[in-house]
Amino acid sequence: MPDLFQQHSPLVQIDFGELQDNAPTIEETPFLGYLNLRGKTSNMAFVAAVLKVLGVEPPTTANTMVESGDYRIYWLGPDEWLVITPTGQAGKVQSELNAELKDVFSSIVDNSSGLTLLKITGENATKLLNRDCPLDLHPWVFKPGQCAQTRFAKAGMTIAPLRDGSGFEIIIRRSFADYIGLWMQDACVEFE
Amino acid sequence: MSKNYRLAEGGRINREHTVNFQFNGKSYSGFAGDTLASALLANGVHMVGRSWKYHRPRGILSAGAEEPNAIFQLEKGKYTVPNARGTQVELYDNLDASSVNCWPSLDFDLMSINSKFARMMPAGFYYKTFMWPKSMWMKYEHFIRKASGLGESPRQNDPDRYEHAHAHCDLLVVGGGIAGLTAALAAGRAGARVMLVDEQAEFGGLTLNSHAQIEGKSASQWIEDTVAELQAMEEVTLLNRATAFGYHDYNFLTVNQRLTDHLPLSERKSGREKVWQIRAHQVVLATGAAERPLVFANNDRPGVMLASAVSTYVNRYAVKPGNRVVIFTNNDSAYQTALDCKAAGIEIAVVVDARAQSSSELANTVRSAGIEVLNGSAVVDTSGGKHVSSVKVMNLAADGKSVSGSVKNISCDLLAVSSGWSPVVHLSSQSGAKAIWNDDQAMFLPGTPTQAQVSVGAANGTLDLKNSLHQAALAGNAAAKACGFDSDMAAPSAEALASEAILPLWQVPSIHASGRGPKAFVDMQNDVGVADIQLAAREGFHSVEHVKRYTAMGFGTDQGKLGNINGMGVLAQTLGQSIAETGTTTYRPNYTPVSFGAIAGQNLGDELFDPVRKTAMHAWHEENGAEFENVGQWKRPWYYPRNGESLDEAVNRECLATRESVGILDASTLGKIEVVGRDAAKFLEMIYTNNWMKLEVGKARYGFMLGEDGMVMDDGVTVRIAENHFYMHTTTGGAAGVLAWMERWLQTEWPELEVFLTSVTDHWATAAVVGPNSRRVVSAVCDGIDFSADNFKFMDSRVGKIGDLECRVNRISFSGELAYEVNVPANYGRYMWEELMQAGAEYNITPYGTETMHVLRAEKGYVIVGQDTDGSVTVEDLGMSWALSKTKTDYIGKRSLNRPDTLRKDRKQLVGLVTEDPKTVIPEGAQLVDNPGAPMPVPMAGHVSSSYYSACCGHSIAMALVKGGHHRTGETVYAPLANDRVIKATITDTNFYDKEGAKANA
Repeated sequence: MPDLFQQHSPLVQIDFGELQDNAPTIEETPFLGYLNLRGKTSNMAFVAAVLKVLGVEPPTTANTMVESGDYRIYWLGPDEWLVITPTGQAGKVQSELNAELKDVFSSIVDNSSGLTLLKITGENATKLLNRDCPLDLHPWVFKPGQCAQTRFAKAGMTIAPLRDGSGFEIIIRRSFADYIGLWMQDACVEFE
Repeated sequence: MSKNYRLAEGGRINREHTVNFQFNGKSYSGFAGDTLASALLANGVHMVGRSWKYHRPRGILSAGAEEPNAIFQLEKGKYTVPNARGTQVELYDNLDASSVNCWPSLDFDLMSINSKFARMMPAGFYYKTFMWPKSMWMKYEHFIRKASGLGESPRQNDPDRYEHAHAHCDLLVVGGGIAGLTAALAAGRAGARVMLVDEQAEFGGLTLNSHAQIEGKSASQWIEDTVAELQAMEEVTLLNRATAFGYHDYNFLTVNQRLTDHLPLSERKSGREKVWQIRAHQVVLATGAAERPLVFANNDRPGVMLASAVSTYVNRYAVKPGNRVVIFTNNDSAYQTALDCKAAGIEIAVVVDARAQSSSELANTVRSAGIEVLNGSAVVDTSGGKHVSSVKVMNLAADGKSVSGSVKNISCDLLAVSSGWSPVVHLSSQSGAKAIWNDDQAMFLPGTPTQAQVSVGAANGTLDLKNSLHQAALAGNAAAKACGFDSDMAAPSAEALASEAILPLWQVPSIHASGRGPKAFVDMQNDVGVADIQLAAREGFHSVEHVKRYTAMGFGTDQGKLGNINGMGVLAQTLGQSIAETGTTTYRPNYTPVSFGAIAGQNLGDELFDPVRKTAMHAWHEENGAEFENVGQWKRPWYYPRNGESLDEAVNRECLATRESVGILDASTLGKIEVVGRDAAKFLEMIYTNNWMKLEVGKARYGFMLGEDGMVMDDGVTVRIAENHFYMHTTTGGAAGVLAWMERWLQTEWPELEVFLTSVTDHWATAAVVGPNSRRVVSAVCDGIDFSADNFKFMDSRVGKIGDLECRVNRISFSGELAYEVNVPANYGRYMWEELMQAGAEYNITPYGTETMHVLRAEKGYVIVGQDTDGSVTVEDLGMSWALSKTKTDYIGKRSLNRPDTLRKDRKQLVGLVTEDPKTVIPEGAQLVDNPGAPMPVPMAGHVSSSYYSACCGHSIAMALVKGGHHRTGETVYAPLANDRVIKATITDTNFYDKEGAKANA
């Protein structure tokens, strides 16, 4: 395994530590593993292989996510999922999936450095995100177990409510992370 | 000017808090709770501006959003706001307001000379007069613009912050009057998510003026209690000072909330305005109604005011708009104004009622209060200079078509007028419901909804309290039920009030011939009179949309809120048709003007206007002094100036260092797509123009993608990582488009192909290590790879390690040098970069940016798609036919390559250019001609697509697209520049450096 301390987060130039008093808390969970998984759920061999390696079948209900041990699997499309693993485990999971899916139409692509995750929690979390996310994030409508691919300002994000109701996690692309960070910092002026 | 028109008691103002303000440089004072208009009236100021075209004195006419006259320039410098409606501007300490459109001053306006020649300036006057002679139009226009301007737009940057917000709800109620509050209450009590927006500071709408009782308490108490109950509900959001200005498809409404405009400048913190984008399951429109003015000669004189506005100023602001009032009406509602005036101690000269009789309870109450009522009469003219001093009254025929009898002169300093009410159907109409004319009520009512919305109360033409409350409760219940909530709130109780029918009166008959008497105004902001509409009709403009455009009726900042319906009535009468046949003009967003800042929100400046994408090495580039350039949304290092170097100096140094030893470029921004599956090679065969089936694993190949038109769309190098696994590079700007393009083909045309595509652009960080010493540098950093020339050839791809980190190294060259591209996961990008820098130190490794990259590739004649191509260039035009497979039966764009146009011999073809003077660099984009002395228009031979000074060649180099250029090597072309200089150049091939390619293959 490479020296994990040699990594740099895409948010290396952003400090969320000193936001306004009433601003939500914004925290990055950097360096998780992200695998983009493609396959056909009509193919039993694909489903069985995923179940074997990840302990759960890929969710088939649109905009939902499932958890299995240390793994989380987000539905991204009818034949596309995002598998999130703990830091440093993406390579191992990728190899296991590749081995099981050797002769099955599928693709497992490591995108671990391409994405990062932010947790936005606190009373004003929804308010901050709805500053420029057009989705309805109300707990009646957007519940734990659901996820959605949407946008924040002019950059894409995948969002899911946290289980404990304290806020949301959002998954954003590395190259847009700095822009999103700056935008959020600017938006937090409202929470003085 | 310091006359005091403030009533001793009453009103919803805070007399404890005196507010000082300035108007046209003079100091005045009012109270907190005043609007600018009410505070001016309290000081006896009616006349606040001059009209747009004739510069006639104009006074405060209304008390709301419909105000055409009382528009002001607020503040100066960077905080200035043009065309603010004084009837809606909340008074704050040190407010600095001035009139618009007065020159040199309000009282002495030079342009009012226009008024004397009004008869010679009818509708269409500007079109007809100033178009001839044509050459003078620019001068006329300058004069007209100066003379007829409204407010001035700010000249300095707006210092305020603006914000956006998205919101969703079960029910959105627009309008916080008693109807809106009731609808919100019904749905809110049922537990629905409700939003209520209202444009005023206080909820309650027009009923705040009223002495009515609701549920056995005063209306204002009921409003206060209801607002408190709503505010306590968790799922209810109330927004005040928030104007719903647009109703779009799918129940999407835009609302502008003013957060700080009511505060003194020094107390304004945070955002000034917030634009809410609201999606609602159900919408209730409780937007109320606006009273119409009556149209008669000199009806625009200051001191003429809507009757309901008089009531509002008296009851809500405790201001007497005059001491002696004449009330002129064609309906019942103005009788309430008579009672309000009487209660406030305003002398009532007379109530002039156009109707032959009036015997409603309200009218009788007025009579029994000792107020004289003249039925079957009309005000035909007003007198006074800059303020009404008397009115002329005559008998009006029962059909309203003629006046007769003697003229009564009645002195007064206030004329309250009412021509009935127009429901505010703007949002309803915007939502797609076409307003319907109702003859009995003489008003346009909201049309049949096409979205999940309903209008209630006055907005629905229901002017009495009891029925409004009933409708609103029903609508609130229904909206809640539609969203799955059980709701059956009873309507708040109120007394019914019967009223008598209105006598529609679109214009008081004139005793003069059309166009001869004094002007009777329909649209006061744009100075459109009855005669203008009649003239438009005579000149053949019959469609209301045409009349609007010919006369400019409804074009002002008020968008004709007051005047349009009267104008349509006048047009209908002129054309002898009904108003239903005449119809309305189209209601469009925005209901009231919205500042540009509010529309932009936070999306401003270098960082937030558009996303700025950064690579994993961005911070390193910043720390090492890079200048950046935008490539698509990416910030890429442009060049790295040292010790104050210019761009040219830095680029020359970077080029030489790279060609002589080694340079390093951040190439992370190139698009990267993984192509995986049994049919991956087959798929690439269709996407690219060349062959992919036989490419060996571990080898890379360059390819072109064409559009269906056969033109070059994108290019790049793709590596075969495994039998069924390719790693594709696209151009930096083309990445997203290429992915979407390929997905389209897979999903719509070739669903049978087993191929999956995944973007990994952000996952990989790439450093291009370039130059004769690059092998030494990468082999010092990357383990596990045999870098020997024999075992790691040009276009080979290998996997190795940097420490324990896996890396992929591709031997690719975009410079003609020995070069390697090292790829690692981007989290390690900076680590890899620093390792390479450290290993390269002994070879003076030189970081270079996009400018040097461009020069190096141009020296080798490598094209950049999007610079040397523009969507009309084929592979053959580029002289790269070798990249077109001769054996494949098909690929995207192949068929188009045999079109007659793509086969033309005189197509623009890519060539090299060498200038006669080696130091001269032809500007990119320069046109090329064969004979600069030819008579104009000089035939164009082509244009320059890339041009640089090449330090390595010792002379400038350029690439150009020249007609038939491939057969013109050695010929001379000329680039004539805008400054009359002509650059002479010779056509060459495009390979300027190391023609044999020995260096790349070293």
